[in-house]
Amino acid sequence: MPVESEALFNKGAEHQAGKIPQWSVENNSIVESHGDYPAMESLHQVPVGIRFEFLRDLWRQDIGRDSSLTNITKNKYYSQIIELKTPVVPYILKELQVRPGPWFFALRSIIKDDSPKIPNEYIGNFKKMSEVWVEWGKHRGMI
Amino acid sequence: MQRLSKEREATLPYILKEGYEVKSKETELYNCIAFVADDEWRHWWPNDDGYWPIRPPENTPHDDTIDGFVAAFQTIGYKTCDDQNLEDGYTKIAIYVFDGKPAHAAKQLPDGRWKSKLGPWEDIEHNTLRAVEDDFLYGSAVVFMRRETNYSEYADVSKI
Repeated sequence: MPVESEALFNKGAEHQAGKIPQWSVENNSIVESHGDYPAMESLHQVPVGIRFEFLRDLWRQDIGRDSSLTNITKNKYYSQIIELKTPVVPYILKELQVRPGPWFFALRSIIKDDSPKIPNEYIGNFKKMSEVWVEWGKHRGMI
Repeated sequence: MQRLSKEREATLPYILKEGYEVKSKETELYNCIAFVADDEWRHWWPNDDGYWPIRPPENTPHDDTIDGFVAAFQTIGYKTCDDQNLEDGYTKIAIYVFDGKPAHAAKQLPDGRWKSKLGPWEDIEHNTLRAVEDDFLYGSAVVFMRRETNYSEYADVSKI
């Protein structure tokens, strides 16, 4: 089993208290597995929070010491987080509460027109930008 | 002397030979460009989420070229110069370029060494510009700028 698959397997196994998950990582993407396991039917049964944490850790490892916000938000794992769509938003907001980081492009990509307006003087200040998004999430009962 | 983790050191092919020291904890709140601009509370980058002193007109792409970065540093008093050599009365910065695009920046210390921030990792002081060069992410230091050491940084930052 590839290292990434093993890590995801272990995370899922811990969370599912012994159930055998039916997903894996192939070619750097999480994909459905079609093994002979009876416990889970599809990738969609893996809790979004676990997928987010896993992809976030891969993203952080993959960007390394890159300073380019453009590269950081074009990263393949970051894109896979965006593909998790609206259910991942609460997890991103919780991440912003503890570790403000460059998640704003992901949030805008998912939320689109309902995204909060970030005051110009906050642009680049991840702490302030995070506060705006967290407040936005609180008003909507997301966190 | 505090060092990067072995895994992080391994991504910098020249750092051990050239010599360096870690000077901060890691943080995503600012990056190398902000660090060189003495701004440790914002992330500087020419895109929609980064602070950039030159905002393009609406619907116009940000200028992420070497010229764009030079223009950004000019807003805080730097002018291009010929080399990295220590000069009395001046502070210098260096812009690293990889694949034709700016990728990193470092600022000269009064003793001629350099300091820079490694993306979301730690700030370091390195003995030479070569210390953080590579051929896959930061590339090489190719653009040098300088400003008078007694330049009033904070007066200018408040304007932008």
